[in-house]
Amino acid sequence: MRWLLAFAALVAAAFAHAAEDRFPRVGEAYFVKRDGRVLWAGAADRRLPLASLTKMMTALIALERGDLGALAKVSRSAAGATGTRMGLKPGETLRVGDLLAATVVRSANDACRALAEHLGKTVTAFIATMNARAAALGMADTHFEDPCGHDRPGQFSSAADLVRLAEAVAQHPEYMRLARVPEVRISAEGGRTFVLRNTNALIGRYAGAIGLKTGYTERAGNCLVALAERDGVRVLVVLLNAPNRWWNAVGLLDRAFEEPAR
Amino acid sequence: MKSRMFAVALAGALALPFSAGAQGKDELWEVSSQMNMPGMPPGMGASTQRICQDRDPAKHSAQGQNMDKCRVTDRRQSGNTFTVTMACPDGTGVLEQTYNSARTEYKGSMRMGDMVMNMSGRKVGSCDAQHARGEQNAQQAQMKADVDRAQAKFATDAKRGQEEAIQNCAKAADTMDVAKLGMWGQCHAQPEFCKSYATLDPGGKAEKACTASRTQLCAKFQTPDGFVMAQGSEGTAKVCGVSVQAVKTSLCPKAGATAFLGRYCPVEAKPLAQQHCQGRNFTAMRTGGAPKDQYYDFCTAYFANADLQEPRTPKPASAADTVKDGVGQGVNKLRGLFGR
Repeated sequence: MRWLLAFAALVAAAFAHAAEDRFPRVGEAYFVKRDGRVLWAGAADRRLPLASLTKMMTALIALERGDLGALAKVSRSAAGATGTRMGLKPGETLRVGDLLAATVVRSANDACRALAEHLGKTVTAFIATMNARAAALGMADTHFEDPCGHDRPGQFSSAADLVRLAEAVAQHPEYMRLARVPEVRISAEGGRTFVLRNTNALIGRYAGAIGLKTGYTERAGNCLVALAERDGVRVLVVLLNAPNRWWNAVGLLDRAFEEPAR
Repeated sequence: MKSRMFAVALAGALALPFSAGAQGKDELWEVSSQMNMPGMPPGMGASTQRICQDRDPAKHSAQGQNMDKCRVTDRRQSGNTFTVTMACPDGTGVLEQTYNSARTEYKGSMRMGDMVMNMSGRKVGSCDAQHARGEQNAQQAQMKADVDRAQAKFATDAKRGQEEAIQNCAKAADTMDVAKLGMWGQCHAQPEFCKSYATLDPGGKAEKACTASRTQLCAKFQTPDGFVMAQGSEGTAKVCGVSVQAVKTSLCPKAGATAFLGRYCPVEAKPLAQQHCQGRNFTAMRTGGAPKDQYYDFCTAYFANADLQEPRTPKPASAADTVKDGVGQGVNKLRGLFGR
């Protein structure tokens, strides 16, 4: 099995290297695909912190488990998560599907941690599941130490690996539904209602934008996985540590859509 | 061309098909023939067919399609060998056939100039040549009707295709879509190609219209707005016989604060961006929160492309470069305001 994964990784690496690094100034690493065809890539295999793009893996596992109607109780540690959060309180109960929505749409760390604890029983166990799933996807340059993307030693991925992860979550209609909404309304059981705005600034501002995930930490810088569709053509852009991520995403998406079809 | 026609005529002379139901006074022969023409592979058009023909070689040589304009001018018999000479519109043809004593087999040839059709025949029964000819005429009439129908359909299709091409070409400049020019828009570069398809463009209307549209599109391609609309396409540049870089070099110094300048002229755009784009961030601009003034399109294009420009050939450092570096740092700081 390991040999197979290593071989798959080698093939993926060779594929990534074959792409032209036409836009070296857009970020520390980037990858652009149009309808499955690699257009351009730079430092596509470089291991870099990925910030909240991590949550795509957490969401993928939640979606593959499938029990989105189940109830999950927010622990003290989940409620105390730092960074972007929706303000959950210890003891509140939410549906798994709502925690998923808050994780994908708002990138809320408290919802993400509650989701990881619910799915893995412990965060440590859930991280082991994330790494196993990454290996199964052939993400040879990826390792998780945190389920929500906080900077941790040993928490890294590559632009090429994130393309694989993005393509895996894009197979789930529920993820695609959430990734493209400008805002989502969710409620704790018998309690508060939250209106959460999408952190992806492309949604509603770039014609055809349909996802997928944003990320930012001090070490990772601005990160983005952008997916857009026009006239049946899909373009996927991954940007890691890209200070000007929104405009560069727009520029890359525009150029990718302008490319002639093959 | 004449020789080819005669070859067809020679073949036609043997092409009176056998009608299975028509027994009679004439002879049914199985004839194998092979054409030899200069410049063509030997043995071209080898075939074996059953044909119904008159006993008299002089008569049957003039039977068959395309032979009705030929006239027998001489006929000779020497033993079992018959020689018939015919005057046809394309020249003189000579048929020679030597029969066996039972007159059940023959070998022979038809020749005109340096073309020769060798043939051998074997008698296989009797038939009615007149009846067979009637069938052949009916078949030919049917074929002619089919050909007329096909030609009429071809003409209709060609006219429709021509009209569509003209309509598409008319939209090419408005949309700056070079693909709409189609094949008729390429005639300036490939006149022979267009000439070879002239039957698809009766009167040359499409070629004329599309050539005019191309001129219009190419003129527009060399304006800032047209260039942006065409997305600086290499394909369009090629059709117009210009280079993308040459158009940029020509337009950048005089483009003003336009989307063209923001997208394609990084050097010229930088100082203007620093002056006019400060304080505009992605979220505000894209939701109508920023003023849509005269610099909106320029700033949008500049921000989306500033990091995507391919570096120009580096020049030696100069005092002016040092000033530009200072401007560049300022723009980098400016960029920090956007999209974080």
